[in-house]
Amino acid sequence: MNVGSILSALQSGAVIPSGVAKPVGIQLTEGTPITSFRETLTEQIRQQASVALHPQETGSTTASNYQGFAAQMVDDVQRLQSNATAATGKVLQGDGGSLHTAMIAMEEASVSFQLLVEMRNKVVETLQELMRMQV
Amino acid sequence: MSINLIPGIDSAGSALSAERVRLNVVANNIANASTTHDINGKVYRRQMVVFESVLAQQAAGSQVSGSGTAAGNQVRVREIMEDPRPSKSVYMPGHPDANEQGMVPMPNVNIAEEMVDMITASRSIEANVQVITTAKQMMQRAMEIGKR
Amino acid sequence: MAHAFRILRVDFKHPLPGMIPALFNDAQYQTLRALLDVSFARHAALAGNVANVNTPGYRRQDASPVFQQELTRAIEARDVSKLHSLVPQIGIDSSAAPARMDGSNVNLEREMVEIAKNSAQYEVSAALISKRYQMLRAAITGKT
Repeated sequence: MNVGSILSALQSGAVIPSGVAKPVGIQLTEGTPITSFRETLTEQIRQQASVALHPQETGSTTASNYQGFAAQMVDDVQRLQSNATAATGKVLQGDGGSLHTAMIAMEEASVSFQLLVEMRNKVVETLQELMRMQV
Repeated sequence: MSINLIPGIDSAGSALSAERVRLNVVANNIANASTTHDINGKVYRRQMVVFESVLAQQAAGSQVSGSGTAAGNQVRVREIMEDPRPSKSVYMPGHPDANEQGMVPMPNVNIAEEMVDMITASRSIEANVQVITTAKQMMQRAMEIGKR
Repeated sequence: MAHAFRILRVDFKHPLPGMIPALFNDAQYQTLRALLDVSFARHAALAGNVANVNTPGYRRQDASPVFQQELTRAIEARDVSKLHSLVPQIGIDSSAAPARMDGSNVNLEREMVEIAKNSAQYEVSAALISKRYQMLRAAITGKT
């Protein structure tokens, strides 16, 4: 999964059905640090997940289950990322953090983020296919 | 900073310093094994090092918890003291430092003892170097976690 | 378009709220983490022993036997929450060999062997955990 394709997918706003407000595309410049990119990206995913699947009709539980599920995933990813930052900080400051703990924290954050992105891509793909079928 | 990057390096480093001091003292003893008078006119007395352990809590200045602070005990030279054993005297009547009975006080240095001390020190130095090498290996392996 | 939107709402009958914790909450993974922490702490204790091999009156230190037992039991029982919360306890080894003449009970050969075994445990755990991340990524992205 490369950064370029994530960026263009988000900027094109392809996931959103017409009639719903498009999210603002990400403006990233060269050399944007990875942490802020991730924060922006997760924020975008969170927005899109809730916007794309917000129930238009009452009495639906499945969509809100999914919304809860997606929000939970994003929360978990953010929690793991802040763990990673904290653990790395401890190592760099030389107080109370071992190298392997920091490496593990970073890997957990990275792998879970990858999962999040792949899931989002699957959702995007599915929505796009279905939209194509209807029209 | 390095206690958690390379665990045990402070302990091993302290031992290397301490043993280096010991080696210097041994060399000095050997060099002066026959010194019957020094600048002050006294016969040379054998010197010896006294090691003591510096517990991890003292070194870190705080409670060592299991949170990843890998600070082990260290060692240091408490003092370099004179060997209290009496100097031997040898009967050498023509010697410039002989007393009325013709006895010359000799340094209480025993070369065999010094050799043993030297071997003990080098054994410890070798072992502590191995400790650091092993720790560096561990750290390198930790850095490769997640390497693709 | 509203009609299209209704079709797009996929039915999640069985939501999986804990998908990300599920990646890392299994016994083997937590065992590897615990072993890494223990080996790391133990190396420092053993290094302290080697540093003090010539210190009179020194008492060797190691992971406390109670902690070792707890760890073994948690590993065998695959108790994930226990493994996650285990904190290595390092202290004076009361079961160590009797003291030499100068009061120290450090046996250099034994310490070096323990260090070798311990570092092997650390390195193997690190390698296995690395493999775990590799496998997870392969599963997630579909590419090896």
